[in-house]
Amino acid sequence: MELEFKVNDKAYSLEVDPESRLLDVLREELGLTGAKEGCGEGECGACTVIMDDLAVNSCLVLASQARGKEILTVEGLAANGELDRMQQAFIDNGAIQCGFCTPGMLMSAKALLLREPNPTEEEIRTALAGNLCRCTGYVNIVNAVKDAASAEETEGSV
Amino acid sequence: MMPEFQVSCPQSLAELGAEVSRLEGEVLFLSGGTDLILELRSGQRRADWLIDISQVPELQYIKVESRLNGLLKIGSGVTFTQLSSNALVWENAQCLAQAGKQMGSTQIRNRATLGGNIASASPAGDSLPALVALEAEVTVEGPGGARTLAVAEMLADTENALKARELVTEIAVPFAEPRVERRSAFVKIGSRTQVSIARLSLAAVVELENGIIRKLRLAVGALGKAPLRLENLERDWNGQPVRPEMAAELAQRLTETVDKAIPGRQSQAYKRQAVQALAYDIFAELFPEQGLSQGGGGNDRR
Ligand SMILES: Cc1cc2nc3c(=O)[nH]c(=O)nc-3n(C[C@H](O)[C@H](O)[C@H](O)COP(=O)(O)OP(=O)(O)OC[C@H]3O[C@@H](n4cnc5c(N)ncnc54)[C@H](O)[C@@H]3O)c2cc1C
Ligand code: FES
Ligand code: FES
Repeated sequence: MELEFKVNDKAYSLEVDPESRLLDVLREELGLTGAKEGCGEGECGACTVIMDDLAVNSCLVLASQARGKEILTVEGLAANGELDRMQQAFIDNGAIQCGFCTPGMLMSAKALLLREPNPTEEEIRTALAGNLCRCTGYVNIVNAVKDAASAEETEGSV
Repeated sequence: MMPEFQVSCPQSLAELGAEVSRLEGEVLFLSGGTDLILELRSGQRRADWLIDISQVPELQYIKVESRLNGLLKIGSGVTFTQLSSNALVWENAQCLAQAGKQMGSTQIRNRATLGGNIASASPAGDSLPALVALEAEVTVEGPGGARTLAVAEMLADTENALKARELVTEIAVPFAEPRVERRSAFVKIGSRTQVSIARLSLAAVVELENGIIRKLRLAVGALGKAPLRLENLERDWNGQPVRPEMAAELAQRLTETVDKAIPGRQSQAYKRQAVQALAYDIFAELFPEQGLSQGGGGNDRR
């Protein structure tokens, strides 16, 4: 069936299997392999992308449900070849070890800042509760999000 | 890969209705997909057609209607994120907003819908005790016409259960009579994915007039197939002033309810403890002026 949607600001019209999930189309049809399949069951958040400004598990969205939507994946964060503030903050804060959870974490964190530019620690933890990390123990990740938020604030007020 | 099916994507309620009559074979509605996609992938369920209702605008609204004492009306396509960030829901059905806020993760709440939660009718469905305690009604439309019934009725017996091709369209929460103060709260422990031994939820709605209880509804979730009401206690407290000792009585009655619902089950020992914490939590939420502190599983600590 035909699927028209936008991914990272680019419009696509694709022929997809009715059974494909958004995750399958992103990875296999568009070659955007940033979103990962961890559990495939909505538990780990490794497949998180932003759909119309909201973080979603792309393993639980059927591709056809993305019709007419705007999708942002981790590849879209550094679209002009420069790292997004959130990505830089993750690096600066040692929030990445094996990196498997990172694309999903980044997208959950990004979606939070879209909605709440100046989040509390509790809001950060709630926004990331659906993203599992087996390596870092979360503290550095939370710090990275705080950093990115305050950087964005400074920039906004200049 | 999932077993094969076709997908129909109506963009309005009229198109949806036409698809329901036109399509042949096993037809299932797909809303947020947070239950159904997993069930299709695991082979637990199969379908010839999925009708994706996630982009039908007529199923996405939250409004207040002035009929009777007033009604809060919620379209079945409303997500838990929308539910728990809506001022009308917090004002008029706080326990439902609290249940919505605590369910799943941000990603799940952004997709999962109230209609899907009701249609799935899982014992761990978090909206269900809240809807039962609020005496909410649900409207369903199917090939045989529309019907409106209490959520509790739909969950209670197979005769009233949702039938094939029947669409949940609306959930309505009736308001209290004028001059009656209504309060409500929802507390839970454990999450859906924890083994059922560690799950329990409790919703309460109380109506007060000059400090006297005129009406009380208590519903426990994840103890049985459908939420369990505490009808005896509801009757006993009717007409009584609120007293701090009631917290302990609530804990006692809830423990008895657990003992009766799951006698000798492995989970009984744990749940009879846990339900006491929930009792103190909900009492403190409902009656902050009684000055009791919470028991450890409430809305503020996680
Ligand atoms: C990781 C994870 C965590 C979760 N945590 C919780 C939790 O804490 N609490 C909780 O209660 N649930 C939880 N769930 C379960 C699930 O998210 C909810 O039950 C959700 O409300 C289902 O809604 P949906 O819109 O995604 O339904 P779908 O998956 O789209 O549909 C579910 C079922 O309902 C039917 N259906 C959907 N909408 C309608 C309608 N309008 N009319 C008729 N039939 C309909 C479908 O045909 C299907 O049979 C969790 C799920 C996951 C994957
Ligand atoms: S792969 Fe989607 S949540 Fe784990
Ligand atoms: S860095 Fe390895 S899972 Fe998070």
